[in-house]
Amino acid sequence: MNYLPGTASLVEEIDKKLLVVLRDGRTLIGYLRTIDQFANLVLHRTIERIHVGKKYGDIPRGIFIVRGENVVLLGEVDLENEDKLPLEQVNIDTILELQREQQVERELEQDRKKKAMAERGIHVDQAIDDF
Amino acid sequence: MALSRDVNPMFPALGAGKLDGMENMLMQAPEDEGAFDILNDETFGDLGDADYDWENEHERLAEELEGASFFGSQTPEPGYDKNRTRDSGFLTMDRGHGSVAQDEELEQSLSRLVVEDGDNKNFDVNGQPIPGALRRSHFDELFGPNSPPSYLDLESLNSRKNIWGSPSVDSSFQKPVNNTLQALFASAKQAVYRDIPGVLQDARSTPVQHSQAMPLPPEVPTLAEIENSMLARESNKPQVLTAEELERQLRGDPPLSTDHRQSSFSSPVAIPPVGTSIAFRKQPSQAPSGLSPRVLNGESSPINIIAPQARVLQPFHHQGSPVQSAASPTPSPSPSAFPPGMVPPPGLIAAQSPRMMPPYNPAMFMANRMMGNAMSRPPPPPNRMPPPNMVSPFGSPYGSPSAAALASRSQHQLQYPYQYQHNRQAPPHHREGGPHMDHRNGGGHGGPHFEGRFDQSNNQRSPGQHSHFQRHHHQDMYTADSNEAEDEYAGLMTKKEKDWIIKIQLFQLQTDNPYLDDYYFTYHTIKKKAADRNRQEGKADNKDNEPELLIPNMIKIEPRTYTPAQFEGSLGRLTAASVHNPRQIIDVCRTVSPTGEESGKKNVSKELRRYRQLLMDIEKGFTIILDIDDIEKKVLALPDENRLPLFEERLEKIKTVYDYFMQDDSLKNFVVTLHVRKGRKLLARLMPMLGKVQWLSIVTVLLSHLPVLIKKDQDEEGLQVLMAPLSRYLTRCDLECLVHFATILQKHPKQNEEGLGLLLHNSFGISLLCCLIKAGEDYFKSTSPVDIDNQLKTQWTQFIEEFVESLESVPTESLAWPDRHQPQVGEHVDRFISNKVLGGVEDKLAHFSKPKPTEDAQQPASGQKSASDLL
Repeated sequence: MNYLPGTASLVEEIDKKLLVVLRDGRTLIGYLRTIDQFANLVLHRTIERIHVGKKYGDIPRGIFIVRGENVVLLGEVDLENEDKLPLEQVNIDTILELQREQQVERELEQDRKKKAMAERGIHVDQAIDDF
Repeated sequence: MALSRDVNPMFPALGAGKLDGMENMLMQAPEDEGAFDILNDETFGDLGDADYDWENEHERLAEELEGASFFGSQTPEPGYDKNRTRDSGFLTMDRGHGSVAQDEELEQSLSRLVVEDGDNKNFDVNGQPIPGALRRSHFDELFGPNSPPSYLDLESLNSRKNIWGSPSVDSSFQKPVNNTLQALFASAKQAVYRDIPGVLQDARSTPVQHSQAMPLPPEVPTLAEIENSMLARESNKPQVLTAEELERQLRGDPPLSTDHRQSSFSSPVAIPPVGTSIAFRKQPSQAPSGLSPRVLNGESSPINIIAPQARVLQPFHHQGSPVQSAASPTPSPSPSAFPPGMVPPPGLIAAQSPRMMPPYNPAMFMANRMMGNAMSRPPPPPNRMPPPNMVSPFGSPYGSPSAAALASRSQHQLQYPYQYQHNRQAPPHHREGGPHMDHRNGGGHGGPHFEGRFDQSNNQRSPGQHSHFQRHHHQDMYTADSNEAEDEYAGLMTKKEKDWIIKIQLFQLQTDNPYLDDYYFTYHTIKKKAADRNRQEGKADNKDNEPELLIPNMIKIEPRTYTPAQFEGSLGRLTAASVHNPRQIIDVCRTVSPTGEESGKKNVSKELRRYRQLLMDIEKGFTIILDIDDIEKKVLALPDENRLPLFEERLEKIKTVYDYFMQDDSLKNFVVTLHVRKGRKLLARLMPMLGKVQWLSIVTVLLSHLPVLIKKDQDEEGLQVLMAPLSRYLTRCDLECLVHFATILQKHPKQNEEGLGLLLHNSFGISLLCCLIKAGEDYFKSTSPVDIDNQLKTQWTQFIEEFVESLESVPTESLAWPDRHQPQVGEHVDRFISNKVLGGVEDKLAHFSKPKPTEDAQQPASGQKSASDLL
C-alpha cells in the first residue's frame, strides 16, 4: 500500500527505536508500537533520558502513550551507533541532582536577566517556554 | 376546567363567570408566534430546515402534558398513543429516527475507508495481530445506551459496525455463535438462577435497553435450544486445546500458533469503562464460584468486565470443559445476539471481552512455567496492550480476575506477584526461568492475571515506590530484550491497522482544489516536474513548458451535504464531527455582484466617489476573472460529460465582464476603465477568453478609442499591457479583419485627424502597427495573389501608403520603439510602395528591424514580460 513518504506517515517507524522530544522538554527513547492518525504514539520499553552537559541518565519508564500534540520531534535511533555516544552515562540519582542544579542555575540567571532588564526599563513576561 | 365549570354556577355572585372567561383567556391566549420565532432564531439560529419542525414537536409534547393533567377530560385521538413520547428520548433514543439513511451513508463511507481484506488469512506474518485486542470497539457496550449517542455515533464509532473489518468480516463474527456460545449461555444462566435469583431483576434492565438499540438477528436461539445444544455439546467435548496443541505451543511451534491466533483475534475488544472499576475490585469475594459479576454490576454498565473470572477459575485440568473451550477460540458474537430481556451469561460476555481472557489458556502458561520450559518461544502474548503504568484507570478489571485467580492458583503462582513487588532486587522467578521467561510473563504473556496484579499493586503504591518498582521491571525487560535478537513485541499493529491509518492519512490529502488547499506544494511539484522534463529533453527553453497544472488527479468525491443529526427531545441541534464531516465553524461565502452597491458616503466629492466606484468595479471584474480561472482548472479534472455546466458558467462569467466594458452604446465605462492601470490589465486578461465575435467588437472599440487613450497614455506607456493578447489574435486574422482594423486606425476627417502619425509616437501604437503589418505580410506571403480580394487589397494598400506617409512626417528621434523588432515591416512595405517613395523612409523602416537600444530595452522588455506573465 502506498503511503506518505518518510516520517510523514509514521508507519515506517513502527517497531523501531525512536527518540521523542516532548513539548515539556522531556526526551523519551522507546520502541514505537502503535500510532494513529493524530500521531498519538505508544512507546514501549521507554526510558526518559535526561541530558545535562555531557552527562546523561536514563530513567526507565515503561510504556508511554503520548498524545500527538505533545510531540515536538521524533527520530529513529541508530541502533548500531547507539552506544558510541560522546556522552557519559551516570546513574539516575546523579543525573537528577545535576538537573536540579541546572534548573536552579537557570532560574538564577533568569532572575539576573530580569533584574538587568528591569533596570533598563524593560519588563519581560516570565512565561517563556523552553521550546 | 371541568371542575371550574361545575363550580361556577354555584357561586354566580362571586363573578365566577368572569373568572371563567379570564381563565379561558389565560388558557387560550393567542401566542405571538412571530415574536417566538424571532427569539428562537436568536437562540438556535435559523432552523431553516423542513425536517425539523419544533412547533409540531412542541404541540405534541404539550398535548401529552395536557393529557396527563386533564385526565379524562379529553379523549385521545386515534393515533394519539403512537405519537407519544415515552420519555426524555435519551435512553430510548431511537436510532432509527431520521438516521437510517445517515447510518447507511456512514457505513458506506466507512467501508470505503476500511481495508477490504477481511479474511483472516490475509493477515501476514509481519502484521501479527494482537489477539483479541482492539478488534472491535463497541462503544455501545462500553458506555451503554445512557451515554450521549451524538458523541459516540461518529461514523468510525458506529456501534453496529466493526471499524476494522469489512461487512463480510462482521458476518463472520456472528456465524459460530450458536455452537459455543449457547453452551456458555446456558451454563451461565443456570449459575445466575441458582446462585442469586434476586439480582436478575436488576440486571435485566440493561439488556433490555441494549436490545432496543440493536435489532435482533433472526437466528437468536431460544433458551430451550441453548440448553439442548449445550447438553449435546457436553457429550461431545470440543478440542479447543488438545494435548497435542498444547505440546506444540510449548515447543513454540509457530504455524500452529498462527492458526490459533487467527481464530482468536477476531473477537472484539471491550475496554472496561472507568466507572465500574471500583465495584469491580470487590467482586472476587462476592462471586467466588464462577458466578457472573455482571449481574451485580449490570446497571452501571452494560458491558461485562469481570466475566473471565469463570474462566480464570478453571484449573488446568478442566480445560476441556465446554464453557472454557467455547470461549477462547471462538469469534465473538455481536452484542445484538442477546434476546430481549435476557441476561447475557458470563461466558458469552467473556467472549466479548477477550482482553480479560487470553485465547491462550492461562492454565497452559501455568503448565509452561511449571515445566520450566523456558526456551520455548511463545506465540505473541494476547494482552500486550495494557501497559502497567498507563492502564491504571482501567486496571481493575485485570485486578479482579487475578485476585480471584489467586485463590485457586498454585502456591507458586500465588507468590509470584508479591515476590515481584517486594523483592525488588531480584524476583525469584527471574532466576528460575531466566530473563526470557520473565520477560514474557511480565509483558503480558501470562495474560491478564499478571498484569492485573501488577496494576493493582501499582495503584496501591506510593509514587516513589512506583517508579522504583518500574525501574526494576524495565531493567529486567531490557536485559531480556538484549538477549533476544528478535523483537517479540513487534507487529503489535497489524497490517490492517496500518492500512487503516494510511488510508486516513491519505484521506486528509484529498482536496477539491489543489491550488487553493496546497498552493505552494502543488506549484513546487509542478515546477520541479517541469524542470525534470526539461533536463531530460535537454532543452533550456522554458517558455513553452510553463508549468501548468492540467489534471489535479484527485478522486472526485460526490458532494455530500451534511445534515446534523437531530434527537428527539433535545434542545437546539447536536452536531457530530468526523473525518468526513469536520465541524463547520463558519460559513464563508463570497458573493459577487457585478453591479456593486453604492458607497453611502455623501460628503465625498462626486468625482472621487465615481473614481472609487470605478476601482471597485474593476476589482469585481478581477474577482470574476479569478473565478473563471478556477473553473478552467476544475473543468480539466472532470470527465467530459460533466464539463458542460462549468463551460456554461464560464461563458456567463466572461460575458459579465465583457458586458461591463461594452455596457451601453456610449461605452462610458470603456475609456474610463482603460485610464486605470488595473483596468487595462483587466482587459488584457479578458481578451484571451473572449469568443471571436466578442473579441472583434471589443478590439474595434479599443482601436476607435485609441487616439484618446494614447493621448492620456503618452508618458505611462501602460497600454503596452494590451499588446500581447492583441498580437496573439492579430497574427491569426484574415485580411478582411486586418483591413477592418486598419481603416479604423486610418485618418478620418472628423474622428481621427492625426491618424497613424499619432500612433508612431507611442510604443503601443507603433507595436500595434507593426503587428498589423506583420500579420498582413504573413497573410500575403501565405496566400496566393489570386485568392486575395481586390477591394481588400486596395484598402490595405491605402493603409500602407498612409503608414509610409506618416512615417515620413515623423522625425526619426520621436519614433517610439515597438515591443519587438519587426524586420518584415520593411519587406511588406516594399510590396506596395515604389522605390522612389521608399527611399525617403528607408532609414526609418530600418528602425523597425533594429532591436531596441539596450538602455531602453530594460523597461519595455519587463513590461512585455509582465504582460505575458499575466496570461
